[in-house]
Amino acid sequence: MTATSPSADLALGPELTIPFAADCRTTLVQALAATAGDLRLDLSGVTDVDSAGLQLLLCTRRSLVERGDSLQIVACSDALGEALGVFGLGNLLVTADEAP
Amino acid sequence: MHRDDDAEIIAAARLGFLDEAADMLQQFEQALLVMETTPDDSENLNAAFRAAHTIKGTAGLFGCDAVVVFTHEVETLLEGLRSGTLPVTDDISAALLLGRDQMGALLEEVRTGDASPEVAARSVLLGDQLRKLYGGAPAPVAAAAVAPAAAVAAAPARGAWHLSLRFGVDALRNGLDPLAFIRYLGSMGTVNACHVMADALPTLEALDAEACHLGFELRLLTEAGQDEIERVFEFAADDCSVQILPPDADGDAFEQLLALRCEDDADAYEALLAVWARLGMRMGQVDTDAAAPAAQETLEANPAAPPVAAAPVADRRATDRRTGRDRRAPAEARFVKVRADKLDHLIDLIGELVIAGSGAQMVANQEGSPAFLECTQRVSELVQATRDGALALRMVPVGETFSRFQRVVRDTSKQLGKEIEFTITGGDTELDKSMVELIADPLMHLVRNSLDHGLELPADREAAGKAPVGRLDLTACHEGGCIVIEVRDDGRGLRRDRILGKAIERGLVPEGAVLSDAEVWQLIFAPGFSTADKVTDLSGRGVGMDVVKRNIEALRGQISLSSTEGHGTRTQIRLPLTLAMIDGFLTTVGQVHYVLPLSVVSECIAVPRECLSAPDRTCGTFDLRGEVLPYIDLALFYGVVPSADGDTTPIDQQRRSLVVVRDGAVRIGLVVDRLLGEHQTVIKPLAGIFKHLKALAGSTILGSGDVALVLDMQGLMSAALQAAHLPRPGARLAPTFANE
Repeated sequence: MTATSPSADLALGPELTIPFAADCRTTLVQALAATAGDLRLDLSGVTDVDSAGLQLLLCTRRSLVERGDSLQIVACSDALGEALGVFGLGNLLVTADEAP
Repeated sequence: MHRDDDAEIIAAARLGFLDEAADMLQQFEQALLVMETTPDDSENLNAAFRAAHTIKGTAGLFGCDAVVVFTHEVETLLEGLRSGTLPVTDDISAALLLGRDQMGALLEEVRTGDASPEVAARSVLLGDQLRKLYGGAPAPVAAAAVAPAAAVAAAPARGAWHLSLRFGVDALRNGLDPLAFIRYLGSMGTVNACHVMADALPTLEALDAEACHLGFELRLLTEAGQDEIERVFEFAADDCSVQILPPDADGDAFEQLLALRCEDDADAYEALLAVWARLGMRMGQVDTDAAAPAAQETLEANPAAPPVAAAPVADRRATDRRTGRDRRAPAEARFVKVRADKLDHLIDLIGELVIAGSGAQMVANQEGSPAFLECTQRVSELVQATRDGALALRMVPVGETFSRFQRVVRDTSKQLGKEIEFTITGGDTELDKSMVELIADPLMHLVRNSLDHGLELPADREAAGKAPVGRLDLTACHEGGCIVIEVRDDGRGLRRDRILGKAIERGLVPEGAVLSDAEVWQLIFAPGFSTADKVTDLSGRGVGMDVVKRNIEALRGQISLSSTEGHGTRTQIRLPLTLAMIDGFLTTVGQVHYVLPLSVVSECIAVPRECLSAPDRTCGTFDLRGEVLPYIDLALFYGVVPSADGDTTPIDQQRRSLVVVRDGAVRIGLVVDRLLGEHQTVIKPLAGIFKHLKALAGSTILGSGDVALVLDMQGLMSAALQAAHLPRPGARLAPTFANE
């Protein structure tokens, strides 16, 4: 997975769970460093997600917001959508809906 | 090495926890007692709850499961009282007090490290009792409840519960997934609003991906009761702080929640209030229907819309913060953390005050004005009280040092295959902080000596007819102005003949010398002396006891050892309570002032005939009411030049005095020129160039500005005893006895 190209959507998955959280975080940190503006995530391939995964997304968003950018989830799997719903985080997807 | 360090750090932290817990228990008990008289005092109930909660929380950190499980029951019952679902009854307060004792017992077990099945059984029993009190009570109680709101709770209405969850940092690692909890809550009813407390989250860069920083505020529509909701989080109690507010919870409950979650952080207050507003909560109002989403919309559409609600909320926050501070005040007042150097500075100042005070006293004496004398007398009493108070600030229990040996004993006994029962007594005996730190190493050495050389293997012990489990006791107690610390084992003891043999071999003792037991044991402290056949990891390198002795003597202490072969060894350390200031007894010899610690002075008498008859002898013996005691003539001992005034040379023997000083069981006499009386003494260390001087512990400054020397009792005693034991020429002995 190459996370260095700023234009490409970063795809994560299929597992967004605690065993993979540290690796995912590394990927996201690299992507953050390599991306100048908003970070676009393609999460359509996520089949499993837990609180650690959601926490990662929230922290990514926080990092982006702090530098004046936003997190865009351009594609989202059902599993992830349901989990976000449980946490009341449907608004994370709003940008994705608005995105072309 | 690292393991030791870690163990020490953990042990220290654990002690901190235990001390804090002991304090919390006291607050808890206090609150329970207040509760019995004023059951409606919600502040007081909160205090009790917080104390229990803190104990539970920190106990969890240290893995004291027994404490956590039991305290949880106590806390739950208190929560019932606090939320008003249970009235305060005699039964409940009695049970809570029993619970407090049990918590104390469990914490004591943590402290001592042994777990008795009786205590565990009582935990279960009391736990059941407590559970019955909060489980069985709600229904019959609701009718009698004071708050009308409680009546609403009695009817199982489908209300909107408010849940405030904060997961601990290890929750994810421990396999707790907040997502699963909230999903499960959804199965009990409807989670109609959930908010992740995003402010608490770190940035991605700062995130440890496996740590948990998640917190939630959510509204749950359910018919389930408080018990059912609590049970969801039962097994997560350690890793999640759960606050459940029933649908009828009033403003106070939310205020308490605010205080709990935000403490004194104003920004956090604002943020949490905003979250609650978005969740559709109106504080202080009963919210039993599903209007939340609607409220949410209005609020989001027009954030500034409810000016009516905003004002009270702001007010409430202000009052809550005020009460919040008040509530915390008692806890803060109990302890004030002060930097050690500030304290040292204070002690120094008080030292100067003492000196200046005695200067004033001296002037008053010279002036001879009764009114002035009376004033200075009063001032000096106050100065003395201030000095004692200031010194007491630096006193800490010696047990802190002792308990680190628990682990040493455990590890060492495992390593050596010995079974050892280690007991500590008098751990709360207090000693100056600076000394506590300095005795740790010597004590460690003694403990290791006992473990390594003293105590035998179980098989050897049985062969010697002793119990297989060896005993090692560490005790501390106050005695006079001293603290006495003893390390005692029931091991193989010291072999007198072998020590003597070794000493003769090394030329420490002449061949064929006859020594008393005490003198033989004293040989152990000679530099480089070791009788161990082989050097082990732990001790026996021969750099032991002399270093220990030196360290102890540097603290103006003394060390003695006694042993019975086959039955064990006892090492005793006597230390003065403080190094800084003492009550002294001022004397002069020639033109030099000498100060004795007042605590060792037993009586003052005229110089006896035996001394008068031998004016050129430094040491000798005299008869004190039939008892023969050694004496030292300080003038000769220190080679004081007779007063230069001319008219008093040679010293007028008739005007001199003898001070009988006592140290432990030993008494000696000191011949001085004049007695000046009691003097508050601030001990200043002697500079390095004076180190070779015998038997001086330090110096002090008198009110007149003169310097006085502080006598070192141990040094004088050993000089006197040595002189008394040394073979003396008959010519000198004869006159002494001839006079008797």
